[in-house]
Amino acid sequence: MERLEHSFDVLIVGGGIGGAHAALRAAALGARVALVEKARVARAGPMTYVHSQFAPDRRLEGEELQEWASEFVVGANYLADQDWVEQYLRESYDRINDQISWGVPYTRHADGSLKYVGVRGHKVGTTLGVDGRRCMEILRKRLIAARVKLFEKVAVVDLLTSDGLRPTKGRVTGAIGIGVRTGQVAVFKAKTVILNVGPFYPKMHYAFADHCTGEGHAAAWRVGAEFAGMEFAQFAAWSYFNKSFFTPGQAKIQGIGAHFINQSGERFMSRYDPIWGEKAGLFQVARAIITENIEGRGPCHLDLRHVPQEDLEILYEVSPSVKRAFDEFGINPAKDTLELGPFVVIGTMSGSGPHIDLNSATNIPGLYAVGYGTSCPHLMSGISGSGISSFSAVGGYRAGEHAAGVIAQVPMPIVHEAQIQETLRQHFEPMRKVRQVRPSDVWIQIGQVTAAPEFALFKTEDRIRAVIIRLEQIRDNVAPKMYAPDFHELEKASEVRNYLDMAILACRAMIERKESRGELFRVDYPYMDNDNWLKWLMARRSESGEAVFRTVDPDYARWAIKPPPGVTPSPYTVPLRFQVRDAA
Amino acid sequence: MIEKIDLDLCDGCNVCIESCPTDVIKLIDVGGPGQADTWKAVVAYPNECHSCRLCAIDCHVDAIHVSHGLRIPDVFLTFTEIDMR
Repeated sequence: MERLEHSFDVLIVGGGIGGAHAALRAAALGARVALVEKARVARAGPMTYVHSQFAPDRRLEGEELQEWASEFVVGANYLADQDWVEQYLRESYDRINDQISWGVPYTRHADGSLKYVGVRGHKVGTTLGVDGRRCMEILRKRLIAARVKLFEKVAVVDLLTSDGLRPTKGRVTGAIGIGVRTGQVAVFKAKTVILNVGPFYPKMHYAFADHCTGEGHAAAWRVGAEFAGMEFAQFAAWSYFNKSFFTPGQAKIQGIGAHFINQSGERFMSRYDPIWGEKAGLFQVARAIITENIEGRGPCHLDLRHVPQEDLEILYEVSPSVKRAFDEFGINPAKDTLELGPFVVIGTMSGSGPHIDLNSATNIPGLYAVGYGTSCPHLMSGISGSGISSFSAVGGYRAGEHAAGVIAQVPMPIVHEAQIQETLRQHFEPMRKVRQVRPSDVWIQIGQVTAAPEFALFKTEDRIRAVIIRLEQIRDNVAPKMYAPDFHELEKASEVRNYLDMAILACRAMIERKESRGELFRVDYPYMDNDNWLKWLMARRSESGEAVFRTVDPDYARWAIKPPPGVTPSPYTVPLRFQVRDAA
Repeated sequence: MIEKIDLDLCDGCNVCIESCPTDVIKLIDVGGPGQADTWKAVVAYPNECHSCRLCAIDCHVDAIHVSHGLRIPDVFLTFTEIDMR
């Protein structure tokens, strides 16, 4: 098959809201822009399933801005980059107004005014409800009108570099895309590349983002982008109801005032999270439910019986799937409570990925990263249930603007044929195999290794090391036996390899951070240690492929919000058989 | 997962195939030899459906029925079932 070659000023990889904003901004400034997406814009990535966006209801300045900022900074256990938080609060207002001017149908009161409501993780911060599909359909139309060239159902499998090396000492110069159904190879040369990195999760049939497996993360990692926050790469959720069905919309359900109750009807969340209570982050809620179960107070239930019908209608409007699921299973939230099934896996909550500056630039010249799967910078989205999509819009706009500003100084790069050939040889390898292991079988093995309670819930250094060894065995002995009878399965094989690389990196980072904070809970360090660990943990890939770590001290002297000193014990009970004798 | 695509209703319009983020659905020609092409949507990779329902929402003849009744593979949920005291 003949290969296609394209040249653009700005290449966007990933068609979520960050990629769309980046493309629109760069195109508005006169750049020639392409956007590549492995699914279809508006039917891709987490934005498709978003139900509300963080949306300040006014322009924030001064003390008020600090008050709003503190929600993010405290929610991020003080690790947030406060410069980014400030920029985010100012510019999310502008980006939401852009969207409103483009016709994105945010929920409104009967009188036509916008309906600002609360959401998980915020007491002063406001959000606007929206069906993410409809929002992205409008942005897709604008992309076409702005002459952004869309390549859909094309998966980018790797980035190209000016020295033909990964990691590179030069620039990122483009990317290789493969048609997910056709196998058509396309080489994209570009002066700048903006990765719209989504989250990564194992494929576990969670109706949110099974197609988000870390493609952007892994590509950025291979070229040498510095990552941050990988030790917090734990995804948890609680919306697996009655041991039988899921719904999306957890942030929205918490936002309309859901109660979490244990067997005796006690609303237990305030015991675990005195600040946020029932609006705490997903991880905190999931861990609290698990702890209630361990201590014999389960099962726990979601209680919406007190929620006014008007608020339920808002939930159903922006998340029709919730209504459909309740109908299908005969749930009447005015009368019934729902049993909660929490789970924890290696995946991104937000804040684990390429480290970016205020312009969304990575440390690699020519490479930007925007979206959920960046370091966000350093968990600034924290526990926020709706902060990430607005963060993606702000970061995307910034990246698009900066990229368009540098293209005049960057010549159209030359790509290295040897690098292209080697990438294609590796990628197509599973098609040359006879029947051995299917990608879907490997996901089950990953689950067996990572979901055992001694690792998923009760980590120690030894237990993390044991999981790394087993994941490396899968990477080295099982993944190379994956076979792909068609191009669809070929893409699935690539997804498994990328996830494995990121899961192993996350485990290595977990060992480095010797405390418990946010999504990282360690039995051997069961406390948050503000005296020694108010640090960002950064990771880069060495030439031999190993992860190299360093820590960076955030600039608290310059920032307004100061963390309290001292050590705070974790609230999670460890059953006897998961305890360690010599807890540090 | 997708419980059923009603082939009597499906008109082979291709919309569900574009909608599916995980590329689970395919169009196949169910017309026999010598007959006119008859394109229908079928679930080509049923074990990859994650019940996001985008196909069902987008289907203009309401031919796709998706059930929410899908379990996470048991291996990911072991700790919710066991007695940990």
